[in-house]
Amino acid sequence: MTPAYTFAHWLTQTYIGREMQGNAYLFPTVEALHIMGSAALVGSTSILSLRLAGLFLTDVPVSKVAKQFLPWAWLGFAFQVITGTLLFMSEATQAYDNVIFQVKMALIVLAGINALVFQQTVYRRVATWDASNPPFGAKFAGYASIVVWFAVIAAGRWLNSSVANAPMPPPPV
Amino acid sequence: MHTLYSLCYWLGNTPLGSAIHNSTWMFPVIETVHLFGVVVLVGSASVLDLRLMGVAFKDYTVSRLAARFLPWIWAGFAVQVITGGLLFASEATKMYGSGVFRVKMLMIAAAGINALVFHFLAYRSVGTWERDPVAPLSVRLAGVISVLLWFGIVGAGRWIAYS
Repeated sequence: MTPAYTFAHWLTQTYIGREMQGNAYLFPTVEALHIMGSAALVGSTSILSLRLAGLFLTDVPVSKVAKQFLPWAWLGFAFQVITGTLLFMSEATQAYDNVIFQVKMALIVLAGINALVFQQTVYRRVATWDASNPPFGAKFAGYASIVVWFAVIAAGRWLNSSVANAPMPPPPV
Repeated sequence: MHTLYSLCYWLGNTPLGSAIHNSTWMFPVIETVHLFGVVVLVGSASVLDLRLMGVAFKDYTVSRLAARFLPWIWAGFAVQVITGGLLFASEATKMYGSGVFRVKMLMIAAAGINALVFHFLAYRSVGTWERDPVAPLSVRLAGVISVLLWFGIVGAGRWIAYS
């Protein structure tokens, strides 16, 4: 058994993992909360991204939009990590080696890298372009963020049909 | 047969309704776009609601925020009506008998009435209160009701898939 499988199996056997599987109302409730969280997270990141792309709130400085919407993005992200982890714990052994799950996680990492690179490069000089047309780097980061976050949602929807109905796979040797 | 049921039956048997019903990929794809629409509609409605509640974005006047976000709310709503209509058409007779579906439609109607009442009552005098640190109770109430209803609608939507 691989360490990843052992860990995934352990997660499903924890109190929370068992509760998530055993209580018929818990999984759909947490899933509903996870969808609500997507509105908070992707809604607020998209507002900032549209501003970076120069398509929305163009008369508000980028730094101001960031200051006002990033706290909501982080709040939404924390909420998604918590609800997403709960969902994962209930079906960890089926999800961990599922390609769509891995693609979703890779996309989230990509969204993080995109934000980090933007923050460490173009955004450092934000004072020089704050109120004007954003430079190419900012526009690119904005468009990329929108595409990646909506792809995360699509992967999540796809994951639901590929994992929820999947039979229990045998443990890898 | 009940008129409403006949209508659902007819809708389910239109070429579009049966095409979505019989396809393996169309329903999940439309559902994915419906989820994208949640972000646009509920995301932008919540921004306005949080402002009405006095929770966030207080350095924008309500009318300015409304002017920016209402087009997105309407665009999101249009996407949701179209994608939701397609999803409904593919399983109309099933939805006819679904209690959760009825609750969802009632909540959407309630959200609409809430927005309409706000628009024709409190919003008429927006100039007199939009710079106040704390908006009148009716305004804050409209914001709270709207947020609760929209998130309730999202919850009901998820529940339809399980019912």
